[in-house]
Amino acid sequence: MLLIRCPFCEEGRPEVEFRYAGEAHVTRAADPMGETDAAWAEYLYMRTNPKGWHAERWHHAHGCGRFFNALRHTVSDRIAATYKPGEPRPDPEAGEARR
Amino acid sequence: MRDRIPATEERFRLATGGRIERTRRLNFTFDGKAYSGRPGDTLASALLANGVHLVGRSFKYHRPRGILAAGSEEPNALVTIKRDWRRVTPNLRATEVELYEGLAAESQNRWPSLERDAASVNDRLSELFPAGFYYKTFMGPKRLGRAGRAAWKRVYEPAIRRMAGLGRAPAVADPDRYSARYAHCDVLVAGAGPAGLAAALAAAEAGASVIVADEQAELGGSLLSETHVAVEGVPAWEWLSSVLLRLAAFERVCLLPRTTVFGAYPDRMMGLVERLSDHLEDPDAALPRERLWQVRAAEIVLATGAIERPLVFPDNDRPGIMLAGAVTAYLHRYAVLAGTTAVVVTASDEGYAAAVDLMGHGVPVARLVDVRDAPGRAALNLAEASGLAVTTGAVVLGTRGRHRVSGIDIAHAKSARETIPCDVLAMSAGRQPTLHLFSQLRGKLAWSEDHQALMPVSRLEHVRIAGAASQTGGTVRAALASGHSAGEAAARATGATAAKPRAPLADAGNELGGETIGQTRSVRIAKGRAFVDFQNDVTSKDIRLATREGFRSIEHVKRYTTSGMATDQGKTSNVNALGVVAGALDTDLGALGHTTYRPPFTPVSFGALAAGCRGDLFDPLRLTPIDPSARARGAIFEAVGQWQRARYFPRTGEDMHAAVARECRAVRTSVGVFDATTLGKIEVVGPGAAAFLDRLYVNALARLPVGRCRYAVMLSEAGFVMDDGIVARLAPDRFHVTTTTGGAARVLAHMEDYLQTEFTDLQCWLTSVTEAWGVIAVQGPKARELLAPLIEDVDLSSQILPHMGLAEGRIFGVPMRLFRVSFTGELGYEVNVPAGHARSVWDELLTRAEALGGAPYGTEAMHVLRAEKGYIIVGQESDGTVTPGDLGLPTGASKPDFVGKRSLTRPDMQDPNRLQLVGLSCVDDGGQLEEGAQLTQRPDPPPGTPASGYVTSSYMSPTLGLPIALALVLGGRTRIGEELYSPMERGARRVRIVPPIFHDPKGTLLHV
Amino acid sequence: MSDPLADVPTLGAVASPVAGLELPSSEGIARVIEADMTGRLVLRTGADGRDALMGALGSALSGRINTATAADGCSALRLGPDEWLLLAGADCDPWLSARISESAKGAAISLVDVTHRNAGIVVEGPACEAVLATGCPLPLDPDAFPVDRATRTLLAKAEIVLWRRAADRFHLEVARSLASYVVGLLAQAIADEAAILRSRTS
Repeated sequence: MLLIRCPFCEEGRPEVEFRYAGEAHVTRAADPMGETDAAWAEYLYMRTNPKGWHAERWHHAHGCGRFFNALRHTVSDRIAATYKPGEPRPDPEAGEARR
Repeated sequence: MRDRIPATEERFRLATGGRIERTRRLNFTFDGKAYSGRPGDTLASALLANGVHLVGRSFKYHRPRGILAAGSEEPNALVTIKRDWRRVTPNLRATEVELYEGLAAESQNRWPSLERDAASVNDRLSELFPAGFYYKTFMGPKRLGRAGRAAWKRVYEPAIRRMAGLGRAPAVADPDRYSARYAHCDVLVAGAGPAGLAAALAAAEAGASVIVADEQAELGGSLLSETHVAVEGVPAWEWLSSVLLRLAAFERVCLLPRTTVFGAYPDRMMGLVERLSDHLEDPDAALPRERLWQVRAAEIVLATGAIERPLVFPDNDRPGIMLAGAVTAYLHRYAVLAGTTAVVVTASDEGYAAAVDLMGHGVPVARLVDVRDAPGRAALNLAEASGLAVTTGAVVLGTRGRHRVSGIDIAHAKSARETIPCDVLAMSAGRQPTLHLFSQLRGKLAWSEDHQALMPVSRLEHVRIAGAASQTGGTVRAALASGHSAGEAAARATGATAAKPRAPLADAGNELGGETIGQTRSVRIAKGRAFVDFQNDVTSKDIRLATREGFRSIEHVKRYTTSGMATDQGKTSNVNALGVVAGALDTDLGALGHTTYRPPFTPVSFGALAAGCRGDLFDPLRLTPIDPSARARGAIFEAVGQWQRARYFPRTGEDMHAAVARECRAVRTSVGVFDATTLGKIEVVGPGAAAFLDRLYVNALARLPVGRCRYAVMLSEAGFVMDDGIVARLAPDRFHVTTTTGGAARVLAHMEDYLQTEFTDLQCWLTSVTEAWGVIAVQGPKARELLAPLIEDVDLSSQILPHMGLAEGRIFGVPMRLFRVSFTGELGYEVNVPAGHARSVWDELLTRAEALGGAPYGTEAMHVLRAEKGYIIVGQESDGTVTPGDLGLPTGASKPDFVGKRSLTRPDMQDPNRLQLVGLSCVDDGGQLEEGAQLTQRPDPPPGTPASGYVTSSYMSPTLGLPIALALVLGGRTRIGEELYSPMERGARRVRIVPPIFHDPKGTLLHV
Repeated sequence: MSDPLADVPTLGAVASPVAGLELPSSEGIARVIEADMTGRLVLRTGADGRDALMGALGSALSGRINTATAADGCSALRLGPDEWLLLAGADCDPWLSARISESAKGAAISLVDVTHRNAGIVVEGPACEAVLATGCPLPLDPDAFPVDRATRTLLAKAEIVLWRRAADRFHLEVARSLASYVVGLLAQAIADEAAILRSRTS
């Protein structure tokens, strides 16, 4: 069971308190009606699915209730950093150092 | 004490020594026969004390099998323990079962008896069970054709499956309790041998909190069978006692005997199972049988020891053929002789020590057979000093005996064939460090030529390996030293700063090291079967056949031959299997890699994994505050998610159909009262609340007036219906929103997601109030008549409180939010009162409703009533691919944006031929349609015909006296009047497409 | 016409979700009792609202996330960055609520009465940490979970708010429909702990 650092609670909390919420940094267009069908389909359905570092959203559902982002390695399951929505995606290696 | 005289008198028990309690005798039975043992015995040691070696039959060939090992790695001696008729546990390792008075054990996989087993014929038919047997056999021979293979599957497969296999699964529910707990510590030490104890002591003295877990009944590991070495100047056992006392004195040290660390999970979460009552003769009924521990440790020390490897030679599986270390463990720990004449076969120097130990206890060792040409110098010196006869460079041709080994055939330089009689054969091919947990944590292992074992080649953060798990041929001295430094380092890593602990020091002890593993040369030249995996009956021949059939990867060989896939997960066989594959492919052992270790280390009961989550506590059962009243009236309930909802309220003599029909009539003609408390409720408050809800729902909510409600549909961003409910505006900045019962948590999370991450320009907050309010729907033409006299401060007239109006006031003096809404098509209100008052309000309302000819109604009548009106239920009329347009609902065309809107404009979503909601009436008189039934153009569509739609809801309408149904039909709204068929097993039903509103299509009743 | 409400009874006592449940107790382990705090408000607001509410709540809203801070007439459990659960005696609800609403003035706040939403359960006794550890995945020792730490978390499958009141006492807030499940879990945990302790000492 992962120990996930909630950037709002500022502490590691057990995975069962969280819900996964999909890839991070996928932003809804300010004017969706202005989007082409292709761009909208890309937004709805296409995800990077990398082997390696993945920026993804987690919801501290049974904790403080906040959504935040995590940089997780999809092979090792290691989470290098967690950060609040709106903050830039950190460099995983720098995140490692911060751990 | 039971009145039974043991048939045998522990003839193989030494007069002195061992850790057993000699003053007490424990009676037990094995296959119904009475024996005795002592406290401190395992079932295996007690059987051996009585000279019993034949304890089981093997998996496939039903070969006689004995006791190979003395610990959890035992592959052969699996037994069923019967405590009483409800407590029957199969496949327990006799080497781990602790003896208690009255223990009843049975052998497995034999019929009619262990000695005379009918299926032992399999042994002579072994050609029928080659590698890949299951894959080859269960397909059935090709020549049988399709029908023949079906018969094969029906007749032969069950027979084969019955014959193969281990113990029987229990047939009745487990009557025992199981517990669970989370724990947190600075240092978790897995294994309490010399290394683990030294680690625990060092960590504790440095100031860390420590959990020490060991699978055995006693802490001590290899020290428990160690009688030669002294530690800190005292005999090992004395040191062990003192160290356990010292550890127990630390407040922050938790010692867990009988506790297996079975799994290692991400971020240092370890799974442990503690056996609490299996060893007790008459356990307290309240005592849980096992306890699951989930331990989050800051640092982990793996002191898990090493497992001795058998040698692979023909007929190496007879009872009496044992691991050398097991023979000495039985000798020292249990004071049991495994036989009267021994032969030791070894590929490691460790065998020499065992031979000398046996001689020291009066057991003649007829020969030490070393398959190596050049044993270590120290070993040969030891042999010479002890007068041990040694043959080096030997080949084992086979063994003799049926239910017990009686001799060994070897060949060597001086003789082509020599038979040496013996009744115990001790074998040793060196040890494999137990690195299961390290590997589970994704630590990398690789074959080491130096150690002749798989050794760790990567480092894991927060994990240290100590003792025999970290080195081969180690001594107690080395184990103590490595354990001590691992324990201290682990404690320091957690910030523990107490004084520097002192390392315990052992004397030099035995410095013999092991070497050489794998298949001995004998197998290639000899006949007979050499077993690699004893539990799954996999021979070296099977493995070689797999390589000839093209399997190269060790993972594939494993799955094809099933080597390493039995309940012991190949603890004694995996390295030998690697050796055989390497030999067959003529490649380096190191080039093969190894199979993946997965949890659990030893089998874990389902009871422990489920722990307390069973019966009433399996899942929360959520009851509304009105529940006791509904129960008192004899309501029949249904589960809706975790909620229990009253489905109908039968009167004496009524079945569901009659009760539901009566309840529907009460609503249509008088007044019905319904518990709607389970509906999700969210209070949305803040200056941005209106704009926020406007973006979350299809419907226009921004300008919803205060005091009004609106039915609203929520879409996923992909444009599909996700939920629906009522949005009520209490104040300019305050809304009361309802959701479906099952959707409450999902909708709240969906709203929070958009509020926190997309619509951050809006300021409002969401508070779940689902359980704050009890909700009583009052529906029917007499609803106003019922409520008006009971309510303060609210005028119920349609001019003041029209359909979709909202008011706050009091009912029976209790604060109330009153919504004029209807899910039945009749004049209706939903009375929201604080949950703590809901039951008394319900009781009062119901009494008055019944005086007016009304009745309580349940979810079944609710479904019928709403279907008569064509009101949808999300999840019934929709399935995640349905748009609001498909359901004939508003599509928010006039709004610039809301979640899901853009998706509704995709070409596919606008296709006029999508599935659309319609009603169905039955043209024939076959009664109700089946929900989920497909609809077709023809009554007898050939296979492969695409359906035109399907039935989503179907009821007998008490109002119409006819069956009605709702359906999704391709382009349905343009096909009103067309006929379709619903082909069923008993013939096709004929239906006509009609509009989906069967009752009061103009909706005038809502506005009375 | 006479008073239409004349023959309508006014309902009195509030039905507690804990009433009727068998509350476990085991000497030397722990016991479960119903909490006496019954008034509950959920307060949500940003920094501006927090400032505005100084008048009503003093510095109660300036406590760290996942801690409880005492205020005049209530305790403020900060469960999220902008979320407080205010627990008070039943009597002071109306005036507390009014006081907060008044002092918020123009600042945006959300104040929702959830008095009836939850059940308040107290677990107290020397083994209360061990009892809660049967289902709560958080470390509960006093270093990790000191007095007045309060947070939302899980007890087995139930979401709870866990608030440490003393070394040997915790207060749990649970949704009222989960009260019987949570009490059942605690009863089993207390029985198990007691039996395990007995087996150790016998």
